[in-house]
Amino acid sequence: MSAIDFADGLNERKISFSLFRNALHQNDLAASLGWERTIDKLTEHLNSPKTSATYATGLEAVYVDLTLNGNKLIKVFKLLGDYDELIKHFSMELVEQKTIYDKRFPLPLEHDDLVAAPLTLSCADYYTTEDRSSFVFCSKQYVVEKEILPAESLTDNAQNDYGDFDEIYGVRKRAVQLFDVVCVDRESGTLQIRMDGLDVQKTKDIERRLLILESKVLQVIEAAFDVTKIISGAINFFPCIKKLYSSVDGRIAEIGHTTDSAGVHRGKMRTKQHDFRDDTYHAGGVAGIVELNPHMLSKCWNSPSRQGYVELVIPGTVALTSSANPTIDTAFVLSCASDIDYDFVMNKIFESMTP
Amino acid sequence: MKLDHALATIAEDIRPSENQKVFACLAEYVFAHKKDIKHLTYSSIAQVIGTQRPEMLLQVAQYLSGERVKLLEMKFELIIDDNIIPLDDETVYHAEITGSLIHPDTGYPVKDYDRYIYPYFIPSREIENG
Repeated sequence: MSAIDFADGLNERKISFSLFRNALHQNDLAASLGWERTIDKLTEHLNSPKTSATYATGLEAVYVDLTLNGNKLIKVFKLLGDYDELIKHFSMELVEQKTIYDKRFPLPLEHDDLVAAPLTLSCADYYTTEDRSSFVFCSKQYVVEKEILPAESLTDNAQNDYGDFDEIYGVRKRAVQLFDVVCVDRESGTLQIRMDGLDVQKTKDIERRLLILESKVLQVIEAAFDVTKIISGAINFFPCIKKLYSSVDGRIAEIGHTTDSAGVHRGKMRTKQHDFRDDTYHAGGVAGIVELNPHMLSKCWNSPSRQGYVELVIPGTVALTSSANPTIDTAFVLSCASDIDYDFVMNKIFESMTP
Repeated sequence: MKLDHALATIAEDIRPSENQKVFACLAEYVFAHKKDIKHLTYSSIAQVIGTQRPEMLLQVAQYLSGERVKLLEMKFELIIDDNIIPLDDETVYHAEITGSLIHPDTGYPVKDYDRYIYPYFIPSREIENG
Protein backbone atom coordinates (compact mmCIF):
# COMPACT_ATOMS: atom_id res chain seq x y z
CA MET A 1 0.00 0.00 0.00
CA SER A 2 1.34 3.43 -0.95
CA ALA A 3 0.45 6.62 0.93
CA ILE A 4 -1.21 8.13 -2.16
CA ASP A 5 -3.73 5.25 -1.94
CA PHE A 6 -5.28 7.12 1.00
CA ALA A 7 -6.08 10.10 -1.25
CA ASP A 8 -7.23 7.80 -4.07
CA GLY A 9 -9.37 5.87 -1.58
CA LEU A 10 -11.17 9.04 -0.46
CA ASN A 11 -11.74 9.99 -4.11
CA GLU A 12 -13.18 6.51 -4.85
CA ARG A 13 -15.46 6.85 -1.84
CA LYS A 14 -16.78 10.16 -3.29
CA ILE A 15 -15.78 12.11 -0.20
CA SER A 16 -16.51 15.80 -0.75
CA PHE A 17 -13.45 17.49 -2.23
CA SER A 18 -13.89 20.65 -0.15
CA LEU A 19 -13.83 18.49 2.99
CA PHE A 20 -10.68 16.68 1.79
CA ARG A 21 -8.98 20.03 1.09
CA ASN A 22 -9.91 21.32 4.56
CA ALA A 23 -8.51 18.14 6.13
CA LEU A 24 -5.26 18.54 4.17
CA HIS A 25 -4.92 22.14 5.33
CA GLN A 26 -5.67 21.16 8.94
CA ASN A 27 -2.75 18.74 8.71
CA ASP A 28 -0.47 21.33 7.04
CA LEU A 29 -0.47 19.41 3.75
CA ALA A 30 -0.66 21.12 0.35
CA ALA A 31 -3.83 21.12 -1.77
CA SER A 32 -4.77 22.47 -5.18
CA LEU A 33 -7.88 22.94 -7.31
CA GLY A 34 -9.76 19.65 -7.79
CA TRP A 35 -8.86 16.00 -7.18
CA GLU A 36 -6.54 15.60 -10.14
CA ARG A 37 -4.23 18.53 -9.44
CA THR A 38 -4.29 17.85 -5.68
CA ILE A 39 -3.30 14.19 -6.15
CA ASP A 40 -0.48 15.30 -8.50
CA LYS A 41 0.73 17.74 -5.87
CA LEU A 42 0.57 15.16 -3.07
CA THR A 43 2.47 12.64 -5.25
CA GLU A 44 5.21 15.24 -5.80
CA HIS A 45 5.58 15.73 -2.04
CA LEU A 46 5.54 11.97 -1.42
CA ASN A 47 8.35 11.56 -3.96
CA SER A 48 10.49 14.26 -2.38
CA PRO A 49 12.86 12.96 0.33
CA LYS A 50 12.34 16.19 2.31
CA THR A 51 8.56 15.88 2.64
CA SER A 52 7.87 12.19 1.99
CA ALA A 53 7.60 11.04 5.63
CA THR A 54 5.45 14.01 6.73
CA TYR A 55 3.06 13.52 3.81
CA ALA A 56 2.78 9.75 4.30
CA THR A 57 1.85 10.16 7.98
CA GLY A 58 -0.37 13.16 7.26
CA LEU A 59 -2.34 11.43 4.49
CA GLU A 60 -3.09 8.43 6.68
CA ALA A 61 -4.29 10.77 9.45
CA VAL A 62 -6.51 12.62 6.95
CA TYR A 63 -7.96 9.31 5.73
CA VAL A 64 -8.79 8.09 9.24
CA ASP A 65 -10.18 11.50 10.26
CA LEU A 66 -12.51 11.57 7.25
CA THR A 67 -13.58 7.97 7.87
CA LEU A 68 -14.52 8.61 11.50
CA ASN A 69 -15.88 12.12 10.97
CA GLY A 70 -16.59 13.79 7.59
CA ASN A 71 -20.30 14.00 6.72
CA LYS A 72 -22.37 11.75 9.00
CA LEU A 73 -25.98 11.07 9.89
CA ILE A 74 -25.89 10.51 13.64
CA LYS A 75 -27.96 8.91 16.36
CA VAL A 76 -26.77 9.38 19.95
CA PHE A 77 -27.55 7.44 23.13
CA LYS A 78 -26.64 8.40 26.69
CA LEU A 79 -24.45 5.76 28.36
CA LEU A 80 -25.21 4.86 31.94
CA GLY A 81 -22.79 2.08 32.76
CA ASP A 82 -19.16 1.05 32.75
CA TYR A 83 -17.58 2.23 29.48
CA ASP A 84 -14.48 0.03 29.79
CA GLU A 85 -16.53 -3.14 30.14
CA LEU A 86 -18.68 -2.14 27.17
CA ILE A 87 -15.65 -1.38 24.97
CA LYS A 88 -14.04 -4.69 25.96
CA HIS A 89 -17.25 -6.52 25.12
CA PHE A 90 -17.61 -4.70 21.77
CA SER A 91 -14.00 -5.48 20.83
CA MET A 92 -14.70 -9.18 21.36
CA GLU A 93 -18.25 -9.43 20.03
CA LEU A 94 -18.67 -6.68 17.42
CA VAL A 95 -15.28 -6.88 15.71
CA GLU A 96 -15.21 -9.84 13.33
CA GLN A 97 -12.13 -12.04 13.23
CA LYS A 98 -12.04 -12.27 9.48
CA THR A 99 -13.91 -10.14 6.96
CA ILE A 100 -13.64 -9.65 3.21
CA TYR A 101 -12.69 -6.03 3.93
CA ASP A 102 -9.48 -6.98 5.81
CA LYS A 103 -7.63 -7.25 2.51
CA ARG A 104 -7.34 -3.48 2.12
CA PHE A 105 -8.78 -1.99 5.34
CA PRO A 106 -8.86 0.93 6.08
CA LEU A 107 -8.92 1.47 2.29
CA PRO A 108 -11.96 0.44 0.26
CA LEU A 109 -11.84 -2.87 -1.63
CA GLU A 110 -10.99 -2.82 -5.31
CA HIS A 111 -13.95 -2.99 -7.69
CA ASP A 112 -14.12 -6.77 -8.37
CA ASP A 113 -13.61 -7.71 -4.72
CA LEU A 114 -16.24 -5.18 -3.65
CA VAL A 115 -18.80 -6.50 -6.13
CA ALA A 116 -18.24 -9.97 -4.65
CA ALA A 117 -18.75 -8.69 -1.07
CA PRO A 118 -22.03 -9.46 0.73
CA LEU A 119 -24.58 -6.72 1.46
CA THR A 120 -24.23 -7.16 5.23
CA LEU A 121 -22.45 -4.87 7.69
CA SER A 122 -19.10 -6.15 8.98
CA CYS A 123 -17.08 -4.58 11.77
CA ALA A 124 -13.58 -4.75 10.29
CA ASP A 125 -11.60 -3.00 13.03
CA TYR A 126 -11.65 -0.32 15.71
CA TYR A 127 -9.61 2.69 16.76
CA THR A 128 -9.06 3.55 20.41
CA THR A 129 -7.82 6.77 21.98
CA GLU A 130 -7.96 7.96 25.58
CA ASP A 131 -11.37 9.60 25.00
CA ARG A 132 -13.15 7.14 22.71
CA SER A 133 -13.27 3.84 20.89
CA SER A 134 -14.61 3.83 17.34
CA PHE A 135 -15.78 0.59 15.72
CA VAL A 136 -15.80 0.75 11.91
CA PHE A 137 -18.50 -1.19 10.02
CA CYS A 138 -17.89 -1.73 6.31
CA SER A 139 -20.60 -2.57 3.84
CA LYS A 140 -21.19 -2.71 0.13
CA GLN A 141 -23.97 -0.46 -1.10
CA TYR A 142 -25.17 0.30 -4.61
CA VAL A 143 -25.60 3.85 -5.83
CA VAL A 144 -27.48 4.75 -8.99
CA GLU A 145 -25.68 7.16 -11.31
CA LYS A 146 -27.22 8.82 -14.35
CA GLU A 147 -25.16 10.29 -17.17
CA ILE A 148 -26.01 12.03 -20.44
CA LEU A 149 -24.58 10.00 -23.34
CA PRO A 150 -23.44 11.48 -26.67
CA ALA A 151 -26.10 11.39 -29.41
CA GLU A 152 -23.83 9.13 -31.52
CA SER A 153 -23.98 6.40 -28.88
CA LEU A 154 -27.33 5.23 -30.27
CA THR A 155 -26.80 2.71 -33.08
CA ASP A 156 -28.60 3.04 -36.41
CA ASN A 157 -30.70 -0.02 -35.54
CA ALA A 158 -31.81 1.53 -32.25
CA GLN A 159 -32.64 4.78 -34.03
CA ASN A 160 -34.67 2.90 -36.61
CA ASP A 161 -36.54 1.01 -33.89
CA TYR A 162 -37.17 3.87 -31.44
CA GLY A 163 -36.74 7.08 -33.47
CA ASP A 164 -34.60 10.13 -32.64
CA PHE A 165 -34.00 11.42 -29.11
CA ASP A 166 -32.97 14.91 -28.00
CA GLU A 167 -31.08 13.51 -24.99
CA ILE A 168 -29.85 9.99 -24.19
CA TYR A 169 -29.15 8.90 -20.61
CA GLY A 170 -27.16 5.98 -19.28
CA VAL A 171 -28.02 4.60 -15.83
CA ARG A 172 -25.35 2.74 -13.90
CA LYS A 173 -25.60 0.90 -10.56
CA ARG A 174 -22.19 1.29 -8.95
CA ALA A 175 -20.95 -0.56 -5.88
CA VAL A 176 -19.43 1.66 -3.18
CA GLN A 177 -17.95 0.74 0.17
CA LEU A 178 -19.33 2.67 3.11
CA PHE A 179 -17.76 3.08 6.52
CA ASP A 180 -20.28 3.45 9.37
CA VAL A 181 -18.96 4.05 12.86
CA VAL A 182 -20.17 3.05 16.33
CA CYS A 183 -18.35 5.19 18.85
CA VAL A 184 -18.20 4.85 22.63
CA ASP A 185 -17.29 8.36 23.76
CA ARG A 186 -16.04 8.47 27.35
CA GLU A 187 -15.83 12.26 27.52
CA SER A 188 -19.48 12.92 26.71
CA GLY A 189 -20.70 9.59 28.12
CA THR A 190 -22.48 8.72 24.89
CA LEU A 191 -22.74 5.95 22.35
CA GLN A 192 -22.82 7.51 18.90
CA ILE A 193 -23.80 5.83 15.66
CA ARG A 194 -22.30 7.78 12.76
CA MET A 195 -23.66 6.71 9.38
CA ASP A 196 -21.62 7.20 6.22
CA GLY A 197 -22.84 7.73 2.64
CA LEU A 198 -24.51 11.16 2.72
CA ASP A 199 -22.61 12.14 -0.42
CA VAL A 200 -23.79 9.10 -2.42
CA GLN A 201 -27.03 7.75 -0.92
CA LYS A 202 -30.52 8.97 -0.14
CA THR A 203 -31.24 9.65 3.54
CA LYS A 204 -33.96 6.99 3.53
CA ASP A 205 -31.45 4.31 2.47
CA ILE A 206 -29.02 5.41 5.17
CA GLU A 207 -31.76 5.35 7.81
CA ARG A 208 -32.66 1.81 6.77
CA ARG A 209 -29.04 0.73 7.32
CA LEU A 210 -29.00 2.63 10.63
CA LEU A 211 -31.89 0.49 11.91
CA ILE A 212 -29.94 -2.68 11.08
CA LEU A 213 -26.75 -1.41 12.73
CA GLU A 214 -28.60 -0.13 15.81
CA SER A 215 -30.33 -3.46 16.30
CA LYS A 216 -27.01 -5.32 15.86
CA VAL A 217 -25.36 -3.15 18.54
CA LEU A 218 -28.30 -3.52 20.95
CA GLN A 219 -28.29 -7.30 20.50
CA VAL A 220 -24.59 -7.44 21.37
CA ILE A 221 -25.21 -5.31 24.49
CA GLU A 222 -28.22 -7.41 25.51
CA ALA A 223 -26.19 -10.61 25.24
CA ALA A 224 -23.98 -9.57 28.15
CA PHE A 225 -25.64 -6.73 30.06
CA ASP A 226 -28.94 -5.45 31.33
CA VAL A 227 -29.53 -2.88 28.57
CA THR A 228 -31.46 -0.53 30.85
CA LYS A 229 -28.37 -0.17 33.05
CA ILE A 230 -26.02 0.50 30.11
CA ILE A 231 -27.84 2.80 27.76
CA SER A 232 -30.81 5.17 27.80
CA GLY A 233 -33.01 6.10 24.82
CA ALA A 234 -31.78 8.07 21.86
CA ILE A 235 -31.25 11.78 22.38
CA ASN A 236 -34.09 13.96 21.10
CA PHE A 237 -32.66 16.82 19.06
CA PHE A 238 -35.98 18.69 18.68
CA PRO A 239 -35.63 20.85 21.83
CA CYS A 240 -32.14 21.91 20.67
CA ILE A 241 -33.51 23.76 17.63
CA LYS A 242 -34.88 26.76 19.48
CA LYS A 243 -31.79 27.22 21.64
CA LEU A 244 -29.44 26.88 18.68
CA TYR A 245 -31.46 29.51 16.80
CA SER A 246 -31.34 31.98 19.66
CA SER A 247 -27.64 31.43 20.59
CA VAL A 248 -25.82 34.29 18.89
CA ASP A 249 -22.74 32.24 17.97
CA GLY A 250 -22.35 30.76 14.48
CA ARG A 251 -24.61 31.33 11.48
CA ILE A 252 -28.10 30.01 10.81
CA ALA A 253 -27.88 28.49 7.34
CA GLU A 254 -31.52 27.41 7.11
CA ILE A 255 -34.63 27.33 9.25
CA GLY A 256 -38.13 25.91 8.83
CA HIS A 257 -40.83 27.32 11.10
CA THR A 258 -44.52 28.00 11.43
CA THR A 259 -46.40 30.99 12.83
CA ASP A 260 -49.61 31.38 14.82
CA SER A 261 -51.11 33.21 11.84
CA ALA A 262 -50.97 29.86 9.97
CA GLY A 263 -47.82 30.66 7.97
CA VAL A 264 -45.37 27.90 7.05
CA HIS A 265 -41.89 29.21 6.25
CA ARG A 266 -38.59 27.76 5.17
CA GLY A 267 -35.72 30.12 4.51
CA LYS A 268 -32.00 30.09 3.91
CA MET A 269 -29.22 32.30 2.66
CA ARG A 270 -27.63 31.78 -0.75
CA THR A 271 -24.45 30.54 0.91
CA LYS A 272 -23.45 29.27 4.33
CA GLN A 273 -21.11 32.23 4.78
CA HIS A 274 -24.10 34.38 5.77
CA ASP A 275 -26.40 34.27 8.80
CA PHE A 276 -30.09 33.97 7.96
CA ARG A 277 -30.91 35.90 11.12
CA ASP A 278 -29.35 38.95 9.37
CA ASP A 279 -31.66 38.65 6.36
CA THR A 280 -33.72 41.85 6.41
CA TYR A 281 -36.90 40.09 5.30
CA HIS A 282 -36.59 37.35 7.96
CA ALA A 283 -35.60 39.77 10.74
CA GLY A 284 -38.63 41.96 9.93
CA GLY A 285 -40.91 38.92 10.14
CA VAL A 286 -39.42 37.73 13.44
CA ALA A 287 -39.87 41.21 14.94
CA GLY A 288 -43.57 41.07 14.10
CA ILE A 289 -44.43 37.77 15.79
CA VAL A 290 -44.49 36.59 19.40
CA GLU A 291 -42.81 33.22 18.88
CA LEU A 292 -40.97 31.52 16.06
CA ASN A 293 -42.13 27.91 16.10
CA PRO A 294 -39.21 26.10 14.42
CA HIS A 295 -39.22 22.48 13.24
CA MET A 296 -35.88 22.24 11.40
CA LEU A 297 -32.57 24.05 11.51
CA SER A 298 -29.15 24.10 9.93
CA LYS A 299 -26.40 25.99 11.71
CA CYS A 300 -22.76 26.58 10.73
CA TRP A 301 -19.71 27.66 12.64
CA ASN A 302 -16.21 28.45 11.45
CA SER A 303 -14.14 25.35 12.02
CA PRO A 304 -12.23 25.51 15.33
CA SER A 305 -9.21 24.45 13.25
CA ARG A 306 -9.73 27.61 11.15
CA GLN A 307 -10.14 25.72 7.86
CA GLY A 308 -13.62 25.92 6.35
CA TYR A 309 -16.80 25.59 8.38
CA VAL A 310 -18.66 22.83 10.23
CA GLU A 311 -22.42 22.31 10.04
CA LEU A 312 -25.20 20.77 12.10
CA VAL A 313 -28.55 19.99 10.51
CA ILE A 314 -31.51 18.98 12.66
CA PRO A 315 -34.05 17.81 10.13
CA GLY A 316 -37.75 18.00 10.84
CA THR A 317 -41.13 18.38 9.20
CA VAL A 318 -44.07 20.72 9.79
CA ALA A 319 -45.98 17.79 11.32
CA LEU A 320 -43.63 17.86 14.33
CA THR A 321 -44.94 21.23 15.47
CA SER A 322 -48.43 19.74 15.67
CA SER A 323 -47.24 16.85 17.81
CA ALA A 324 -47.60 16.78 21.61
CA ASN A 325 -44.22 15.06 21.88
CA PRO A 326 -42.07 16.19 18.95
CA THR A 327 -39.07 13.91 18.53
CA ILE A 328 -36.11 14.03 16.15
CA ASP A 329 -33.59 11.30 16.94
CA THR A 330 -31.21 11.71 14.01
CA ALA A 331 -29.18 14.71 12.89
CA PHE A 332 -26.51 15.49 10.31
CA VAL A 333 -23.04 16.49 11.43
CA LEU A 334 -21.34 17.80 8.31
CA SER A 335 -17.99 19.04 7.02
CA CYS A 336 -15.97 17.79 9.99
CA ALA A 337 -12.39 17.28 8.83
CA SER A 338 -11.11 16.09 12.23
CA ASP A 339 -12.07 14.94 15.73
CA ILE A 340 -11.68 18.56 16.83
CA ASP A 341 -14.32 19.69 14.31
CA TYR A 342 -16.68 16.83 15.19
CA ASP A 343 -16.34 17.33 18.97
CA PHE A 344 -16.98 21.04 18.49
CA VAL A 345 -20.35 20.34 16.83
CA MET A 346 -21.28 17.67 19.39
CA ASN A 347 -20.50 20.13 22.20
CA LYS A 348 -22.83 22.65 20.56
CA ILE A 349 -25.57 19.99 20.65
CA PHE A 350 -24.90 19.13 24.30
CA GLU A 351 -24.80 22.84 25.28
CA SER A 352 -28.16 23.38 23.61
CA MET A 353 -29.67 20.53 25.65
CA THR A 354 -29.00 22.21 28.99
CA PRO A 355 -31.87 24.41 30.19
CA MET B 1 -15.29 56.65 -1.43
CA LYS B 2 -18.07 58.94 -0.26
CA LEU B 3 -21.49 59.31 -1.93
CA ASP B 4 -20.86 62.98 -2.85
CA HIS B 5 -17.65 62.05 -4.59
CA ALA B 6 -19.31 59.14 -6.42
CA LEU B 7 -22.19 61.37 -7.61
CA ALA B 8 -19.75 64.07 -8.78
CA THR B 9 -17.75 61.47 -10.75
CA ILE B 10 -20.96 60.11 -12.30
CA ALA B 11 -21.99 63.67 -13.33
CA GLU B 12 -18.58 64.15 -14.92
CA ASP B 13 -18.44 60.80 -16.76
CA ILE B 14 -21.95 59.87 -17.87
CA ARG B 15 -23.31 61.22 -21.15
CA PRO B 16 -26.01 61.89 -22.21
CA SER B 17 -26.68 63.70 -18.95
CA GLU B 18 -30.28 62.36 -18.70
CA ASN B 19 -28.74 58.92 -17.99
CA GLN B 20 -26.89 60.25 -14.94
CA LYS B 21 -29.91 59.86 -12.66
CA VAL B 22 -30.06 56.10 -13.43
CA PHE B 23 -26.42 55.63 -12.38
CA ALA B 24 -26.90 57.94 -9.38
CA CYS B 25 -30.00 55.99 -8.34
CA LEU B 26 -28.02 52.75 -7.98
CA ALA B 27 -25.11 54.56 -6.26
CA GLU B 28 -27.48 56.07 -3.71
CA TYR B 29 -29.17 52.72 -3.14
CA VAL B 30 -25.84 50.96 -2.54
CA PHE B 31 -24.71 53.64 -0.08
CA ALA B 32 -28.04 53.61 1.76
CA HIS B 33 -28.11 49.82 2.15
CA LYS B 34 -24.44 48.87 2.19
CA LYS B 35 -24.75 46.99 5.49
CA ASP B 36 -27.67 44.88 4.26
CA ILE B 37 -26.55 44.18 0.69
CA LYS B 38 -24.81 40.84 0.42
CA HIS B 39 -25.90 39.82 -3.05
CA LEU B 40 -27.13 42.03 -5.90
CA THR B 41 -28.18 40.31 -9.12
CA TYR B 42 -28.87 41.91 -12.48
CA SER B 43 -32.59 41.50 -11.83
CA SER B 44 -32.42 43.27 -8.47
CA ILE B 45 -30.37 46.09 -10.04
CA ALA B 46 -33.00 46.34 -12.80
CA GLN B 47 -35.68 46.86 -10.14
CA VAL B 48 -33.63 49.49 -8.32
CA ILE B 49 -32.91 51.56 -11.44
CA GLY B 50 -36.28 50.86 -13.04
CA THR B 51 -35.12 49.56 -16.39
CA GLN B 52 -35.45 46.30 -18.28
CA ARG B 53 -33.04 47.34 -21.06
CA PRO B 54 -30.13 44.86 -20.93
CA GLU B 55 -27.59 47.26 -22.44
CA MET B 56 -28.39 49.93 -19.83
CA LEU B 57 -28.26 47.35 -17.04
CA LEU B 58 -24.84 46.11 -18.15
CA GLN B 59 -23.55 49.65 -18.58
CA VAL B 60 -24.63 50.71 -15.07
CA ALA B 61 -23.29 47.55 -13.37
CA GLN B 62 -20.02 47.71 -15.30
CA TYR B 63 -19.48 51.40 -14.49
CA LEU B 64 -20.28 51.07 -10.80
CA SER B 65 -17.85 48.17 -10.45
CA GLY B 66 -15.20 49.88 -12.61
CA GLU B 67 -12.12 51.77 -11.46
CA ARG B 68 -13.70 55.26 -11.63
CA VAL B 69 -16.10 54.81 -8.70
CA LYS B 70 -15.68 51.15 -7.66
CA LEU B 71 -18.82 51.00 -5.53
CA LEU B 72 -19.51 47.37 -6.40
CA GLU B 73 -17.40 44.24 -6.63
CA MET B 74 -18.30 41.59 -9.18
CA LYS B 75 -18.34 37.97 -8.00
CA PHE B 76 -19.40 34.67 -9.52
CA GLU B 77 -21.42 31.70 -8.35
CA LEU B 78 -22.31 28.33 -9.78
CA ILE B 79 -26.03 27.50 -9.81
CA ILE B 80 -26.83 23.87 -10.63
CA ASP B 81 -30.46 22.93 -9.99
CA ASP B 82 -31.14 24.60 -6.63
CA ASN B 83 -27.57 24.37 -5.39
CA ILE B 84 -25.72 27.65 -5.21
CA ILE B 85 -21.95 27.43 -4.82
CA PRO B 86 -19.88 30.61 -4.45
CA LEU B 87 -16.72 30.64 -6.56
CA ASP B 88 -13.49 32.11 -5.25
CA ASP B 89 -11.22 34.24 -7.44
CA GLU B 90 -8.69 31.41 -7.89
CA THR B 91 -11.35 29.03 -9.28
CA VAL B 92 -12.69 31.67 -11.69
CA TYR B 93 -9.17 32.66 -12.82
CA HIS B 94 -8.28 28.99 -13.44
CA ALA B 95 -11.45 28.56 -15.52
CA GLU B 96 -10.64 31.66 -17.59
CA ILE B 97 -7.09 30.47 -18.29
CA THR B 98 -7.75 26.76 -18.89
CA GLY B 99 -11.40 26.72 -20.03
CA SER B 100 -12.13 24.17 -17.29
CA LEU B 101 -14.07 25.07 -14.14
CA ILE B 102 -13.40 22.82 -11.16
CA HIS B 103 -16.47 22.36 -8.95
CA PRO B 104 -15.37 23.47 -5.44
CA ASP B 105 -17.34 20.68 -3.71
CA THR B 106 -16.90 17.67 -6.02
CA GLY B 107 -13.38 18.55 -7.17
CA TYR B 108 -14.24 17.57 -10.77
CA PRO B 109 -14.60 19.76 -13.89
CA VAL B 110 -18.13 21.04 -14.55
CA LYS B 111 -19.28 20.13 -18.06
CA ASP B 112 -20.52 23.15 -20.06
CA TYR B 113 -19.90 25.35 -17.03
CA ASP B 114 -20.86 28.50 -18.95
CA ARG B 115 -24.48 27.41 -18.56
CA TYR B 116 -24.26 27.42 -14.78
CA ILE B 117 -22.04 30.35 -13.87
CA TYR B 118 -23.70 33.63 -12.86
CA PRO B 119 -22.35 37.02 -11.80
CA TYR B 120 -23.53 38.99 -8.80
CA PHE B 121 -22.39 42.13 -7.03
CA ILE B 122 -21.51 43.08 -3.46
CA PRO B 123 -20.56 46.48 -2.05
CA SER B 124 -16.83 47.03 -2.59
CA ARG B 125 -14.32 47.38 0.23
CA GLU B 126 -13.88 51.05 -0.70
CA ILE B 127 -17.55 51.82 -0.03
CA GLU B 128 -17.63 49.73 3.15
CA ASN B 129 -14.60 51.57 4.51
CA GLY B 130 -15.97 54.92 3.29
